[in-house]
Amino acid sequence: MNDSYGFEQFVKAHATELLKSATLLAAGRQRGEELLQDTLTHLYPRWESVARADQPLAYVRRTMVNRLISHNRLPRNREISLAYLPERQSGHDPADAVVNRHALWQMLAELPERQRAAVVLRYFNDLPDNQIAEAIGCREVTVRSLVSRALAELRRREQMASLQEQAGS
Amino acid sequence: MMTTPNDLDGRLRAELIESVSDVHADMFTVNRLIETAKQEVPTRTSRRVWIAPMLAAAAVVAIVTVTTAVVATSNDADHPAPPLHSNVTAPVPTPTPDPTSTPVQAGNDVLGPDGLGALKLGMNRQQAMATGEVGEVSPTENQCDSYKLVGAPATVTDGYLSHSLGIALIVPPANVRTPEGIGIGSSIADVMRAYPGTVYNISTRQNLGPRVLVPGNPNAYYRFPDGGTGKVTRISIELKNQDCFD
Repeated sequence: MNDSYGFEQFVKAHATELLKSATLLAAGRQRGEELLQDTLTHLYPRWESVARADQPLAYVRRTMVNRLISHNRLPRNREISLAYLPERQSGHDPADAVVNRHALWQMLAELPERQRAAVVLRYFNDLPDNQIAEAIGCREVTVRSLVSRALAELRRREQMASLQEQAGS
Repeated sequence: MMTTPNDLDGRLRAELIESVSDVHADMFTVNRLIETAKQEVPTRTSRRVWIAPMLAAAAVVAIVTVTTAVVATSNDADHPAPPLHSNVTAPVPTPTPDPTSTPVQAGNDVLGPDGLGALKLGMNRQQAMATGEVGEVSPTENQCDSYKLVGAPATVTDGYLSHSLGIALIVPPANVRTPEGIGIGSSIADVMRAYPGTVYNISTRQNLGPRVLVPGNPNAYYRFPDGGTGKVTRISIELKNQDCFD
């Protein structure tokens, strides 16, 4: 297949942006890269229609979410994602911020895919609910429910963690 | 700790951005993404080959997951587990010695069936260190340490030493092959010929590849990632119940 529809140019221009989204969606750097590769591999033979879409980037992101949700039927591994987390950049807070973030990551990794996707699309990609609904393939009301269930779960775990900490110290 | 529940929104936003602030697709990654996508135009045949082993792998992984109790809280209403029908159970392990090839004696250039030379799967840290084969050991963020093989080039991927299971993964230097003759550069077809009936997972994804039962060792898998190229790019042996990675 030739590259007249600009597949290469597109990937070169948006790889980092897509990789960030994929890393969050898949809750890990390695899995994120696999998800992005899987998505691009799937889309390459149909790149003509991607290129013709109003917003090719949104199209690719939507496909990524879709493949995450529909293909990721294997039980999720909850340890590996942490092992592949990107290192925190230096110059910030001391250790407990790192602990915090890893705790948040751990929690995100353990959410069901649809909930995690809803959280990432809303809080990282800043998408409005209607676009999140389109990406996940559900109704808007479901998006709100997915996000609120995810947040409730994150809150619950944070409270548990802080209770345990108090008990421990 | 400053974790008032109400600022969760803001913190989530900030932490999500922060946590991928150093994720960057360098030219190497970009090229790999492009080249792999172009190579892997799926044919009907490869699809069919791919799906059944994936189902089998799902079943196996599900069982392993349950038995090792890594199962998480089950608020997975919208993430149903794959159905475990009897027709997707894993292929029966058939350690079939290939009459045409004589297995090589286990040594430092043969991986398997139980390890690499003196270093065996399942050895605890002390035993492993005593072999003299294990060099630098570094902690990871999970319940496993990574280790380097003494004398192996820096390009060789680290192995894993599980805190509870001992040596859980061995990745040998490039010249090493399995007793069945599979090594770097073997084709996936070679793998399937060498381990008939035991190929669990042929993945089109990066870094994953067929994972097969090890003839003569019911507790181990070989893994032969091909990076999407159709040729094995790395070989390794791991404990079936290893708790270091997926």
